[in-house]
Amino acid sequence: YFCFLKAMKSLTKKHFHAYRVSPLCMFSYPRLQHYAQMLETFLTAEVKCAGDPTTNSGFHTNISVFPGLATGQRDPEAILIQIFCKQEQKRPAWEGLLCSVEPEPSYLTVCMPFVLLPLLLVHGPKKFTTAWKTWFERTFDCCVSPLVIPSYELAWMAALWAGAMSVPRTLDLQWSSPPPVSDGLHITMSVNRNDALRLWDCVHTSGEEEVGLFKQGLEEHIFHHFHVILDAMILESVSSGVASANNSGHIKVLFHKPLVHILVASSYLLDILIPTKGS
Amino acid sequence: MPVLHQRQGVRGVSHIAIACGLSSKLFLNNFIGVLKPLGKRSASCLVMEHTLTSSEALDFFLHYKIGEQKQRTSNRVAISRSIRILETTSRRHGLEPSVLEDLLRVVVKDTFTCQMRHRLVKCLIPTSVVSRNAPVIAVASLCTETLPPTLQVLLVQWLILVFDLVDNKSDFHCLYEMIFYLVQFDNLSPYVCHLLYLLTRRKDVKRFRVQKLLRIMSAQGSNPQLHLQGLLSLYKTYRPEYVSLSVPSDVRRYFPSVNRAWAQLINLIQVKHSVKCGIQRQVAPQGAGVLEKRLSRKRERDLAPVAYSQGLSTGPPARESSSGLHLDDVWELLGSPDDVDMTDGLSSLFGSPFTLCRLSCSMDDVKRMRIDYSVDHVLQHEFWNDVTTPRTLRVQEEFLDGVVRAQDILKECLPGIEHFLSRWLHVWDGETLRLQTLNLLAQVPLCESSELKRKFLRPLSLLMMTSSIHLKCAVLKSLQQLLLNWQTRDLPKLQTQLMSPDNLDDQGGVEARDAVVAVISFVDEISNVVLQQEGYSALLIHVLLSFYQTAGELWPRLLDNIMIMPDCMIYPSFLTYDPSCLNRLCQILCSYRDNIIAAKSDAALQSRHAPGKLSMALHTHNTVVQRMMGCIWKGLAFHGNQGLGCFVDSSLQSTSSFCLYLTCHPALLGFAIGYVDATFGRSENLFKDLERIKGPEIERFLQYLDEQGVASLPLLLQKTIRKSKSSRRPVNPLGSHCDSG
Repeated sequence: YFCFLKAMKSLTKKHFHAYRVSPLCMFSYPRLQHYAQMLETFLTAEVKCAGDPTTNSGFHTNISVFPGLATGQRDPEAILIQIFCKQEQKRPAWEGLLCSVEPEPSYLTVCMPFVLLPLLLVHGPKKFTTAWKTWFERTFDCCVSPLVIPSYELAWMAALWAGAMSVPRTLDLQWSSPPPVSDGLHITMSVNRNDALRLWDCVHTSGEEEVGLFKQGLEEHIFHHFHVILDAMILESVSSGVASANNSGHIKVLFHKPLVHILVASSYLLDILIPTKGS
Repeated sequence: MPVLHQRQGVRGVSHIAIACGLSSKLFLNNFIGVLKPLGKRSASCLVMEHTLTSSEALDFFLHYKIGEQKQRTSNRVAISRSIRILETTSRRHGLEPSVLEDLLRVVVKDTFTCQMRHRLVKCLIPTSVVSRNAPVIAVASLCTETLPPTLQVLLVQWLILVFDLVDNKSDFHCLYEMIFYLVQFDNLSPYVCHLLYLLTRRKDVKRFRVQKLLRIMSAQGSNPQLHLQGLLSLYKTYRPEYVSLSVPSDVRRYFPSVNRAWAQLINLIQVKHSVKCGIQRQVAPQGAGVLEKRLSRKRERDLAPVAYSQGLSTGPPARESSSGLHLDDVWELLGSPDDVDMTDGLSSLFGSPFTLCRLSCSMDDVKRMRIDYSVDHVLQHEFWNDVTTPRTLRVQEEFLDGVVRAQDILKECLPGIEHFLSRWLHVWDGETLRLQTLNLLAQVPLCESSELKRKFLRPLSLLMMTSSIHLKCAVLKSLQQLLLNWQTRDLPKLQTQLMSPDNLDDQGGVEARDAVVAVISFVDEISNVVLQQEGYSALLIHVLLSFYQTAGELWPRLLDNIMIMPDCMIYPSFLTYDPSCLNRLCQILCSYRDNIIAAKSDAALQSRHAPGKLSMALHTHNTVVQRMMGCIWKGLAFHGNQGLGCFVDSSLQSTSSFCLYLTCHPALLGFAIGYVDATFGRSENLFKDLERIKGPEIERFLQYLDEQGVASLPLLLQKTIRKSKSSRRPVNPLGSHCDSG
């Protein structure tokens, strides 16, 4: 249990970037050690092939099973990938967590030679992400693409976190103008923890959708004071005492307890579509 | 010291001369007389320095021949002056590709001394790019062993330095084997290895090359051959299975460094050049050098995954992206069908039709799923998140075009595409990605009719009600293509199933046939509305007739479903001004007739048919043909139950019955007049002229129609009118009318 707790704690208080991953072809758990070696060789070769033989290219990689995240019945175990630089052995230079936390069933069934680990959380410099992605996509013939969290889902997260906040910290929300309008227009709002809790309790009373009401409550408040209608604005980021999330897929979790719930929520995002075109 | 004085003196004089506007040559001739005491030799070098420009210096080298110049001394002086000027010019501005190539030809010939050729090689500084021939010349000379060893090394060094600047490396790459041959020479080996390191692509890594490298390495003994190790480590990256040797990873530098000052000089000229024409280059980057590569790296990501990586470091990799996956022509495929590599991203093959062909031959479930997942990933997620800009739209267009092509070759619809399309059609505006959407629509699998209706046909019907005639036609065309695709792709499979007696009630077969029927009935329903909306436009009628023609061809294969065109489609195309519409209608009716007769005569087919369906189809067909014949042959258009009488009010029935007669039908009147002109000549009364087409003339008129391209109407008449004496000579209603009037 302590192991589990320690592992969970290692994921908190880090800025993660979320990606979605398509099913992995021919991925097998007993070969993790082999994969680690392959990745190591690949990274070294990449640095060499980049035409700069002078770079000190010492990498050490570690791929292992991450316990405790396979909460659903059919979830495969999560995988932790770490890249260490030779100069600094203790702290990993890059970390990636591949997991499947109760994903929504898709119309494409995933069966034997394939393993479905649809959510990837990445912490580390971009160049490693690029290199790792290249290797990973090649080795398991899959696609890795950034996860975008739409406004509505962010509002939903804000509402959930407002209710679960146990630390005295404000709930911060930031809106920005949609792309056709010139950039630079941001609206930031900080709600006191107690006020957010009170609003959350209020919306529970009626039978309507709570999240919608919560969002509506916040928007009405802004309209009341500043006469600004927020409907057409994009909710860009939400941060609370529990966790923070960003439009472009940044997630940061502050406590280990709600971690699994947040991962479930993120997994839910993998399957929704945001049609921005057409009618 | 005296020399210095002379130089200064002459320089000063030349300034004066130019200032005075005198001819400097004349001036100097006089001046040489003054300097005579200093000796002839010095005087002549002074002249050289002043008359030579950089282009003249270059010409000097390019057209120099041994023995042309008589005096050895003056010759040597001329060479040394020319090379000095050339050096200054090339260091300042570099050399143009063609000049560079010419000068390289001079270097590899043994016209000049070794030292001079060294200096010439150092002058080979490219302004922009190096032409594709230059490396060929250099490598060719390296292989002849006529060059002194030091010059060989210098030339290889030069090739390494300008490697990135070579315009189109395909020729260079062809010489891989020749360059590899040079590895065995000790003095060249380090530099050649470096060059190979830059040049190697995956397909170059061969077992025999690895073996040769290992042999050389073992021959060298214990002292470490870093350059060989470097090359081997690259080979190992490409083909780990060929190189079992462990390559030390902590080596800082595999290859000896090339003259740094020279490298810096080349870089400097490049930077200068790119600053000078940077903007121009960005508009039209034809010169495929480093600049273009850098630009292309900045290109927005493609939706289809790229087959190979681009490197971890931010600096531009020197190698061309190696793509063993893509075949350029069919011969390459036929030559080595097993070499096609299919281990990496399968969906990256969409751009290469030949590789797709190869894939379609060796398709299995795992490969199919790999493609499915990655296409699904792109379509479901990346596709919808992008905000539409012209750029993303173009990328999406390319991707969907690739998918259409791949589906065409693989002969199946990817499930991801079906899912995407069913969502896309619900929000489609009929404009965005129209061509791609319609192409994809034509490839949808026909499996279950209710699914088909819900996913595709319902959104399409809404779209067609509210769109322009062009979109309506386009959608109908793609539905026609859908039937055609089904006919060529799925039907053969289905038929083999049906022909084997065990699978008669195969669920899949029945479902597929139901789906085809659903598509045809959908067009039946929609045709009435769209024809009315568009005022029975001839274009739309033609498109619909094409659809029904295709549907009619499916008939004998559909076995128990015979569907006649709806009335709303038949009568408008009968009552048209357009003879080709009428002709096509007759053609379709003819084919219906043939099919029904074939079905009736074939006992096996008949037993398969539900008995009611066949007789119903026959009845419908007969009614339609009877009505048409009533109008065209009997001239009783609106007469009682004859012709179209049942459609009009009884008060109108007796009037103008002849108006749809063979010679008076709006679509055929023109031909009748043409026939009259051709045979008897036109008189004042046109009615009387048309009246003359009767009896045996009718047969000749039908023949005339046949010649004019309205072939199906005479055919239909021939097939349906019984050849008795009474019906051969019908009453000419026009004539009787005229008589009575």
